[in-house]
Amino acid sequence: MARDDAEYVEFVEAVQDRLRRTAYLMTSDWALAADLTQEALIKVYVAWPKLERKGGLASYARRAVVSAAIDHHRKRARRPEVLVDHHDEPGLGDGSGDRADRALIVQALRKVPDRQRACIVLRYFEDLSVTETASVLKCSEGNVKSQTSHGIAALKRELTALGMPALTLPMGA
Amino acid sequence: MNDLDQLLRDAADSGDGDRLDPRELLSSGRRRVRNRRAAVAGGVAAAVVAAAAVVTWLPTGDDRPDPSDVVDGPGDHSSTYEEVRIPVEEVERRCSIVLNGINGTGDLSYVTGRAPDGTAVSGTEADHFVETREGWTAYLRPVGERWPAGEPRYRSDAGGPRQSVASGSAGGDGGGDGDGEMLVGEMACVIPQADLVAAIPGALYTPLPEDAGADQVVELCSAQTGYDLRGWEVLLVRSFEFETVALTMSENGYVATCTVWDEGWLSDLRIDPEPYLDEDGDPLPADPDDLAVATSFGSGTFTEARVLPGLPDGYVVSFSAGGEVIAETTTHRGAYAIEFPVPEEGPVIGRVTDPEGTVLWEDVVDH
Repeated sequence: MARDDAEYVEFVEAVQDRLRRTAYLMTSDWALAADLTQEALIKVYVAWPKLERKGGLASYARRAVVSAAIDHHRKRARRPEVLVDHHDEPGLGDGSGDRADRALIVQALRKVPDRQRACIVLRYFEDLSVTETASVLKCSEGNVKSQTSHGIAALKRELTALGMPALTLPMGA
Repeated sequence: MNDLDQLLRDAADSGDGDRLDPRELLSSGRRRVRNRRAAVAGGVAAAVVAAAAVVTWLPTGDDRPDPSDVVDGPGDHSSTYEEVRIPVEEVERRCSIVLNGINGTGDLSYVTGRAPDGTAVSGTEADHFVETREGWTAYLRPVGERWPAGEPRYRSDAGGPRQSVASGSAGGDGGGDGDGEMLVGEMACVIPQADLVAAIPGALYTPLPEDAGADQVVELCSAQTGYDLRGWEVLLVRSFEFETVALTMSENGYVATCTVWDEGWLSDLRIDPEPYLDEDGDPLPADPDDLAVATSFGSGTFTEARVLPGLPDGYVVSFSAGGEVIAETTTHRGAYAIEFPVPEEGPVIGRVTDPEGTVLWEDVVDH
């Protein structure tokens, strides 16, 4: 295996779990998250020589996943007649508090607009700074702050509606 | 009490633990790079063949075959839109080249027909509508696989007032085929012109420079969709957060809207079915109903680019909420493009006014 290929395999091993989780929080569908992660990592391979020179491998992969998730959602919204099978979410009444919480947060997150959801996931799951999030989403820092703030408010509304009011949410970005 | 970051981590830990095989990704990546190189080489070869062929094949007048079943020849693109229909088998051949290039699926045969049992067959065996117009969209599946459940797309598109077309995946199966590639669902394909088809895969994944001019946008869109818009008048080019949109008009008044996504990996193309100019080249009169700006949109960010018929420069398209204008733009030969974040609550009013401020159309937009 060539040196670059070995490095690519190592990179995939290191980042794929994180990317797939990010994609899942964006899509609430594990199978789709796997597809988006796979596609993003193939794009990374194609762009590998350039990325090695310029840096930003992880950032590029993250952006590819988030963009693909938003794009997928946008296309589905424009083409409502296309049916994509979604796996069942964990049930809410399965007797497990933690599992129910997980299901609720995913369910609520799904209702948050795409860009706002992306900001929440990148800021509070990926632990990215406002600057880093703006870089991934190719927008201004002010836009990240605004979208995050709106997103958190929307998430809180959804969670409250779902009966989970005790969540501690940040006040803004 | 729960913290958001902890809840997100817990939710994201609830997966099935499946992992992607890096070596399969490696194979897929290598294959895609090979395909791109081959496509670039093929495109160059096709261009050479086209240049040679145009010298000896010059269709004129009555020599031209009936457009209903013609396979168009090279060099006959122009700034005038002409509806060109090609045989179904040719649609499937061209789109298979495009979709294999996009998906890295190698040599799958994509077909347009749906058998009674739901499997994908050649459109020649189907009794339903199959799109065959160059520049319009066809929907395909790998032969022998099952179409997604639900109403077939070709039916819903056939009756629509405007045709939205794109090359790329319109849905996924959510599985893998064992060879490391993503299984494809229903696939949308802009039916390419004959002499541009080979170069399409090589044109994909080409980022648009930040300072790209109108010509570059149209050139990339033409290359990625395989439909030559380079002779069309560019009415408007506008960049938004994720995409750059170009509105172009043919000499005989047809409008094509091209969208190049930021990452440069894909373009969308939409050709409006009716011309906006009469035979003398003057704008057709506007019907008030045709002025309706976005009639509905969902949450998040809203983007629209189109032409309002019959309106010259300087007409204003605006959206307002809570008594304040949230987005506004002016027309150029009726063309406009606008994007804005959709308000969380409350009605949004769409409005079209003339340069003197007279309201020509106004209504609540559903969202």
